[in-house]
Amino acid sequence: MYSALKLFILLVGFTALFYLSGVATLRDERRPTLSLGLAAGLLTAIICAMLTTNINAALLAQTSIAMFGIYRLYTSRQGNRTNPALQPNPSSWPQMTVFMVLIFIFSCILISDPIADWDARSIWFYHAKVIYYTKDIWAHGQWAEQANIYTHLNYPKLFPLLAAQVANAFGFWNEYIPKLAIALLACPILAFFVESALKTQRNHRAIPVNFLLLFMMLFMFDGAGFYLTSGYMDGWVALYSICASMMLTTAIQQHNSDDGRNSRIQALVFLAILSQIKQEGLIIAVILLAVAIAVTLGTLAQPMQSIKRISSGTTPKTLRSAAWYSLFLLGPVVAWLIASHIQGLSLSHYSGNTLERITTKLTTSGQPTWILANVIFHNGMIFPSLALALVLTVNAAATRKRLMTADFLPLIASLVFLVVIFLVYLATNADVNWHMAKSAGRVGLTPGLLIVCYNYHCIINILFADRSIKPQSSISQA
Amino acid sequence: MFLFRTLIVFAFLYTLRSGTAKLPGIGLTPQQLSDTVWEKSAPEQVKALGHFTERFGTPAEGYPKRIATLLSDFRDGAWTRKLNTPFLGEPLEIASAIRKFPEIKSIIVAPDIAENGELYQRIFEGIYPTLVLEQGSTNFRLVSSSNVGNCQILAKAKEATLVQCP
Repeated sequence: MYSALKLFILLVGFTALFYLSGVATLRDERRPTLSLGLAAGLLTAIICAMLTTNINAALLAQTSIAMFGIYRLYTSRQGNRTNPALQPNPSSWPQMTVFMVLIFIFSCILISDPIADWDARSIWFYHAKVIYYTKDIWAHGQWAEQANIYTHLNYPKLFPLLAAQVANAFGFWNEYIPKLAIALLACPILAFFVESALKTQRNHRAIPVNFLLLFMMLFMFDGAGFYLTSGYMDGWVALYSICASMMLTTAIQQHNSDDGRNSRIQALVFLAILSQIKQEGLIIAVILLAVAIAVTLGTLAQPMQSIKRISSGTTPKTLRSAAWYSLFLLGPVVAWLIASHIQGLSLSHYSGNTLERITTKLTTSGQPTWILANVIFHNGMIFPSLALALVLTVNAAATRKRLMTADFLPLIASLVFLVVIFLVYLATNADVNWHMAKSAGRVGLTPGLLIVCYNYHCIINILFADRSIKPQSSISQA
Repeated sequence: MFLFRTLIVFAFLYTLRSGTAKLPGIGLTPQQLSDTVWEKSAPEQVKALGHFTERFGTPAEGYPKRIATLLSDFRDGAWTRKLNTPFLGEPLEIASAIRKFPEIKSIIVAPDIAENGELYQRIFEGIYPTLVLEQGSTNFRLVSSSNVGNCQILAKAKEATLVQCP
């Protein structure tokens, strides 16, 4: 009982710290949603660790920032009273309760197994151990001496930092406790799930079905039991990708509303976290952002005039805000890329003459087909999901269902990412069969779930079509 | 319309569980179905390059096992032990043996252990912050139980024996 209480206090402490420091760092007059606050808190954690270099000092700095967050919450509450336009975001007590119950159950499950599998043991928790013992996210500038290059030293350090902080809070390292960091990484996703599933704006009858479909998509896909609890990061890259794509879709569809603005900031923060989880996360974050910009420009009737209107309406306040968000979102990823370059940690499977390897594989009989087959079939979700996506798109076109251009965002991003994976296997300097056997299944998780996410949008549209749309962005326009 | 809606919801769920949920009437999972089609339709020259080894899905299932472990942990008090005990030495037993000797800052791993790449990696990562050396001035070594020689045995574990040599 005492241990359960200890665990509960740790979880409440860390989630409160992340949420409050997130509130403090977001330049928003409204109280941010739980998922946005928690996600911004994760980014604040890594920024504090990078700036202070010592993980104890980082915790102290983040606590100070969280104090400012309490003040901001208090002033936003006062603002809501005097200015009715500043309504708080819909994070309610039922959502909070469901969130805490889910995170507690998930944490209990996490501790059932020790850190054992290769990626978890040799990459993420090993890096965490180095940070825990050196008390420094930069390992005193000696990553290459503290560890071996085979452990992918150039990978981002958000998750290892969280694991080191958890061990630091308990005061010791063992093979179970640091796994609680997975729960901390899961916090924004769980909060997003609870907020999306219990959204009251939607028809109340839709809530149970929406809850079931979202729950299955986020936590019950094939392999979720392993990839979300063992300490591998591939599952989390996939989940952050689909959550970011859902937010980007909302941001594009409702760009003039408060909900759209909130989703835009939320999507950017989730993309920043994505780039801090794993190298693939950075690639998919760039793809999602590029596709979102292209889709937004595509949905605007006169893109150039809109851009001019936005730039002419720019004030010093919006410029300051843009500069702050750029620093907040891009700072950690740029800092780590520079640091890993300086420390010489960037060795990978793709060094050497990449172009020659690509040409050789492309001209070897059967090789491109075999690589393509692995990209599409190795993860079992991709091919059936693509087939279902085709059926749903044809159905939407045939029945003139309202499917907006923004709904295609996850599908387009997924297809682009599949092309990138194909190129990566062409470029690898490892044995391609070994490389694909070891990674094609789990790397395919992200594109697979992005296609599933597109299917989810379509199904929700078919089941509960009650949205108003702009005619020029609808595929039923023809 | 109701039938179509029901069908697409089930199809959606099947795409998520393509490696484990068998299709009614067919008796195969969607993944096995695509494998069968691949086996029949892929050109011989491509099939000669390999098969889908370590397919994703089925072997990666974990929730039932983890929940069962969690319940038994609660019953016998192991959950509390996991939450409160430093350096349990699981799954690498030798790690907890080495941690009983805080004076050991670095250690030499004997060649017969270093040859086993997987074991070497696990030791390298598992005993950190004790540094693993291939050669050096330290007297502490990790050897296999048959290669102790004239060194003093400090601890024995299933992976290796910790010794202090003169």
